[in-house]
Amino acid sequence: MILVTGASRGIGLAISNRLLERGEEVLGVSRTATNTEFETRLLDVTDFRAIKNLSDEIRLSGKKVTAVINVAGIASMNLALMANPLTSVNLVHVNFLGTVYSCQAFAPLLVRNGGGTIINFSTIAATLHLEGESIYAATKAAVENYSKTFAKELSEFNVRVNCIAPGPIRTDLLRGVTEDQINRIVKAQILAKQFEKDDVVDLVDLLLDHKAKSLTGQVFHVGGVR
Amino acid sequence: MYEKILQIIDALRLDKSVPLNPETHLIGSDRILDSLLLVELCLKLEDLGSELNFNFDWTSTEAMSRSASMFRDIESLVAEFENQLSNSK
Repeated sequence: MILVTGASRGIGLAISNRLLERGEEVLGVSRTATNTEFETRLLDVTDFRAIKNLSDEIRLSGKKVTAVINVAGIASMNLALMANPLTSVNLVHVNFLGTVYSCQAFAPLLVRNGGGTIINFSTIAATLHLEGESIYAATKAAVENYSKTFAKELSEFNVRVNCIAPGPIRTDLLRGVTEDQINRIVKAQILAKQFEKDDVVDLVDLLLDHKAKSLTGQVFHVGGVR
Repeated sequence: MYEKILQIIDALRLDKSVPLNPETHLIGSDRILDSLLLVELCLKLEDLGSELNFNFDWTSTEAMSRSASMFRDIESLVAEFENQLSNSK
């Protein structure tokens, strides 16, 4: 079984559908109900107790978890001086703590299984220090840093932890980002083209494959970054 | 519960030359379990909790603190386990 947070839409949904096509059992986690072809649990990744309860339920069911993919995230574009404090709190809670809670609660399931893969999601904004994305980018930079340390702590358990940092992929998170801004970000990529959700899903496929067994503690930029 | 947890720790530790006692440290420079074995201990205690119909929560505000962690020695770990068991009833 593979767990995917943020599975109700965007990249999380695309990943879940691809896994389903491959014949994997997917358990999606999301705050909102959508019509998916895989089982979904409605819960908020900022609720550690709810995440831990789900982990306990899976453990007691005896199901084997092979991977955890943490896609759940929110974006908000504000100049740092104008950021609403509540928005800042939400960004930290969902993007950073949501990833931390999911990793902490679900990683023991991988350890029990003799190993597995964790994929967390960052953004190109964390590397580019884009104006108007200071808090969003900082939460994702925190995810990258956390993932690198977590990769070390889990290395002895044969659990690999990596980050994927996409550029501007057309999802709801891009709302409010102008074409001009998108073009500027794309130009900062080594491969200066706007990639699609499928390209990100391909990278997930790669990291889940046993051929990626040497890859851990790394941040993969879709299209590269200058 | 002390004997049960002692058995689990004894089975996990690699160096069995020193006898275990309630003051035996589980963290710090003179710990008897490395970080890998400490996580395995947590998983075993989670299993033991399930046998006793409660979910053992090993998260702690100061898990690696020599003075406040439930893992500072065997006695404190047993006390925390028994406390969680008692609170679950």
